[in-house]
Amino acid sequence: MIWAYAVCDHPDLPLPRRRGLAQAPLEGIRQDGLLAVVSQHTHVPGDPALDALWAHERVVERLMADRAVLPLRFGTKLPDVESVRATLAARYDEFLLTLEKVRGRVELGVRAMASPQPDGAAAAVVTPQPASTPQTGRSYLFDKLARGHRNEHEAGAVHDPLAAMAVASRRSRSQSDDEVLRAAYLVQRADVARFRMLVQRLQQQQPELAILCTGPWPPYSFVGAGDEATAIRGGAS
Amino acid sequence: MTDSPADNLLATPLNLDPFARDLRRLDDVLTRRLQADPDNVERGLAQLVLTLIELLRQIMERQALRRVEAGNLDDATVERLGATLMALEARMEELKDTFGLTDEDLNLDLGPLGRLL
Repeated sequence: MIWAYAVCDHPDLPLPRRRGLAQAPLEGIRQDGLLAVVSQHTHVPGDPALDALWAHERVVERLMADRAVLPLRFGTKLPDVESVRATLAARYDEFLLTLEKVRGRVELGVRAMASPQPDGAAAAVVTPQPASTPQTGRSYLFDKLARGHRNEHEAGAVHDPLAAMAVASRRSRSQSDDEVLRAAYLVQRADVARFRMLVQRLQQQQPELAILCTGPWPPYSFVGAGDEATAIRGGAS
Repeated sequence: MTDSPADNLLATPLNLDPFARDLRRLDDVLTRRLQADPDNVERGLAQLVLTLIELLRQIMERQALRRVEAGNLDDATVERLGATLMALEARMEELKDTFGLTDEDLNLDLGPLGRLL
């Protein structure tokens, strides 16, 4: 069984000596100008334990250090070398095109949550009063609408300037009431420091939010089939 | 490059607490399977059923909010919609209490499609 980490170009570039899952050595499977980076296993090595996730992630990150990569989702398995080649051949042009799109760029993740104030100063203004639970059906709906608009406004204040600095961005639907923004940005490697400073500035401007910025990640949100799924749930609900 | 996940934190807020529950969620995703052992079967079933009900409730609520926002509902209809959804939400809270379930329990990870709710 073959565990796949990423698809790259420049197949002649030597692979890093880093080990893959279960300490298996990395191998390249070549198809013309593309290279799939894999490790071979007799048993499925990828029980989704945290260290396995990181092992996969670090292989992709190491590859990303000296070449453009299309990162593959944790758990991408193929039966044999032939099926890997067939996949590379079938989607050859698409893979090359996407590699150009992500070359020299990294993914940064940003999440903003409504945060309890550390100093308690402005807390009274922003915290919804539990006492004022809606009494009528009408106020219940309008409260929900107002909260939605407020969140959208706050999200835009963070997202818009960040998206302007990025090459591309993807927003996902927030996964809880207090999650204001969940987004991924494709950023030129040289812009990472600037992006980070912008996040810090936005954080200072909006103390009522807790803004977390992670990365640089391989461009998981900006490659291949994941795109459609992200597009569907992208944007505000 | 070291191997610490902390290396991937670029900018962190002063208060990290709001993100802490994600660690629990991640732990759940990694370790938990549907609880189908005999002792737990009732709770597991309740979890599944309530998840579906909650999904429907949220879809109805979003639809209602869109219609209210479009502004072509009369006051009586808005009131009736709101009262129904409010009652549903309250009932849902009671059911969650009864079965000892949290919002986190009523969510399914659909892989590439994201989370259900």
